[in-house]
Amino acid sequence: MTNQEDQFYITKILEGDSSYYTHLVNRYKNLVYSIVLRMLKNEDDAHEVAQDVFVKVYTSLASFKGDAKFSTWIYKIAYHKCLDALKKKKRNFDTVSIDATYEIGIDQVENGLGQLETAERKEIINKAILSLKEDYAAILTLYYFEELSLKEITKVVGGTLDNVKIKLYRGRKMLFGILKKQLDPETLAIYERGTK
Amino acid sequence: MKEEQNKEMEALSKKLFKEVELQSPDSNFEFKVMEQISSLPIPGSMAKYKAPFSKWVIPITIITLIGSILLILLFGTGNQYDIMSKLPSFNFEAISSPLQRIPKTVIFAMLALAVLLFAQIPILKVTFKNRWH
Repeated sequence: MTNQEDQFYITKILEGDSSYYTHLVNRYKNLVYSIVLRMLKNEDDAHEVAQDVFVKVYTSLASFKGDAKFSTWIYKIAYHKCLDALKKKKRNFDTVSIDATYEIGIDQVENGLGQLETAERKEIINKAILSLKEDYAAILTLYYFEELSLKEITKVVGGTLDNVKIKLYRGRKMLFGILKKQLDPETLAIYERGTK
Repeated sequence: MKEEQNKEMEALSKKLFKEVELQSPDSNFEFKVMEQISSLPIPGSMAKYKAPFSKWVIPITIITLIGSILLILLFGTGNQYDIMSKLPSFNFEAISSPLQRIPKTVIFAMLALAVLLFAQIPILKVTFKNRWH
């Protein structure tokens, strides 16, 4: 239904009624903004780039052939706009790299998070996602929020399917590593005492 | 072991991502985007006019400039455009006096501008059509 609706709006816009574009902006603004924010890690830059994404989508609308999902096409533009913005600013974020042998302690993280209030837990998870390297953050967002398949994510970020699979695995591992680091040692100790 | 850990991570990730919502941009985000696109042509409409524009404007500009220079050279380098002496068989008495007061470079510049504007009619048409929408 969503794809049909998207196509209906696109046809209307191409016929000359640009007011229909507001429906498309409304539908995709949160996800586009979330991807951009998680990649650029700065709200002002994210607003600017997210707007650029929607302007670019509008000007290129005639070239959308409909062979892929419209959402996938938008995310692809957003992903590449972010890479351009990062290249321009030549920014290096303090992202976390997790050693393959690092013991994450999934139960520890799960129970540690369980001890927290909902709002605090949300904040910690959001912070952890923001600490991820830009491509890992984008892949995890597309996979878990938009529930895109690995094949669709490959279309968005480029590269091979195996590459995306590896990045998804590493991204998850990094996320848990960051969460473990962010959790208060006391919170983790409560759980550890309980298991002994 | 690795496979098991991966499955556990996958399950917990799903749970974690369900807890956090997507971030929303400012409340006027939509308005800002719509404002930006309001000055843009309808998608795809420029492509239709791009070819004639790029194809004709540059040659017409060059021809107009060369033509203007040639005309100035042909009619002499005097300060006033002496239409009476060039077209003696017509009685231009009535209209010649205001024309004679206009420097000929101004006349040629206006002619060149008119030709350039004419060449850009397709582009102007698209621009105005979008503004009226």
